[in-house]
Amino acid sequence: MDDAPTPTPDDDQLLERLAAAGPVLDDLYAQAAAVDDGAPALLPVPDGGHGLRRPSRRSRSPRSRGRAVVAAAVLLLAAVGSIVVWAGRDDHQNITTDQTTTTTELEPSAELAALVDERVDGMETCGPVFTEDDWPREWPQGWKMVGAPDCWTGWVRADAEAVQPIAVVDDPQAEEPKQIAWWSPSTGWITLEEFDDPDFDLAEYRAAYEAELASRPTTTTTQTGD
Amino acid sequence: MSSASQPEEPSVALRDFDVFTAHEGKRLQRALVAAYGPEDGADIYGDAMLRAWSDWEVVGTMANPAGYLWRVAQSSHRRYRRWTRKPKFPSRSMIERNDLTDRDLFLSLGGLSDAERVAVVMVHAHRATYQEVADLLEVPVTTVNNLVHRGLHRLRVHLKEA
Repeated sequence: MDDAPTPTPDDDQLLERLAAAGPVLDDLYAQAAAVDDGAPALLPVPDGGHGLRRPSRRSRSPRSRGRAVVAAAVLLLAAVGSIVVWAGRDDHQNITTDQTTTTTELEPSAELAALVDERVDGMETCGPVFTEDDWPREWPQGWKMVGAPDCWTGWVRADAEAVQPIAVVDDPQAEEPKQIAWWSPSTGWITLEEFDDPDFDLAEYRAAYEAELASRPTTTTTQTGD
Repeated sequence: MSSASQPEEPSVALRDFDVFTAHEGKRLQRALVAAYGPEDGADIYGDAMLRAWSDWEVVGTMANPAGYLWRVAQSSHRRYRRWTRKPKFPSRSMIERNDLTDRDLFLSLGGLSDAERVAVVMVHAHRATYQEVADLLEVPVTTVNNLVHRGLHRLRVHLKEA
C-alpha cells in the first residue's frame, strides 16, 4: 500500500510531466547554488553534486542591508527619544505603563486578524478534507478528519465535545497516536508550538477566528471529514 | 509539520557526513526546493546543513537526522518568513526564465500547499518512496498518501483551468 502508484483518472500526462520536472528542479537548484558571491561550496559532496550553498542572505541581498540600516536608524532614534523623554522628567522615575487601566478585550489585534485571515484563506484553498466515502482506505471508526490551513490533516475523536480545542493525532490506528496539533470548530487547527506559547491567548484567537468566519458566510467552517 | 528542533538522544553509531549528504541530504535538499523554490530552498538547505556539520557529533547519531534537519529547516523558514518575506514557489526569477519548460505545471504546483507540493514532487518528480517522504517529514505514510492524493487532484483542477 505504501508505495502503491497513484491512480491516474485520465490520460492527462500529469505524472509524466511531473517526472520530467524533477531534473528541471535539480538543475534550477544547481544554478541557484552556483550563483553565489564567488564563494566556494561550503562542504565537499562526494558524488560530484552541486555542493552546499554558503548561507549568504546578507551578502546576496542589498535590500536586506538597506532594511537593516533603516531598522538600526529607527532603533537609534527610539533610544535617543527615550533618553530625551527620561531626561525631561522631573522625578527621573522609571517610566512604566499604567497597568491598572488595562482591560481584557477580545477585540483581536490587526496582526492576529491578518494571521487568521491568512489561515482561513489557506483552508479555503485546501478545500474540504476527505470524507469516509472518498477516503482510499478503511476509515477509523470513532474519528473524524480535520484540516490545517497548510493542508495537513489529522484526526480528532468524533464524539469529543469540542468547545475547548481537542487533540489532533496523526494516525488514530497507531499503537501510540502522536498528537500533532489542537483543533476545535471555533478555532480551527492550532499548532502545538503556538498553543504552548505563553503569549498565546485562546480567547482572543477564538474571537478573531469566529469573526473571520462570520465575515465569510460561504466558508466551510468545520473542515472536517464528517 | 512538527516544529521541535532540539537534538534528540543519540541512538546509532556516528554516520559518515558525506554519505549522509549524498543520499538523505540530497532528499532533504530536494524537499526544500519543492517547498520554497530553488533559491530560498538552497539558502534554507545551506542553513540546515551548516547546523548539521556544526553538530554532527550529535546529529550524526540520531535515528533520523534528515527528519531532524527538516524540522531545523522549518524553523529557519519561519524566521525567514518573519523577517524578510515568505519564500514562494515558483519564485519570480524561476518563472521569468525563458528556458523554463512546462511553465503551466510549475505555476500550478505553486497553487498547492507547501506540504502537498513537497509530497507530490518528491514522489512523482524525484521518485522517492512514500516511506522515504514520511521519514523525512516525520509523518505517517498515510499522511503522505493523503497529501499526494489531494495534491494531484488539485493539480489536475489547476491545469484544466490554466
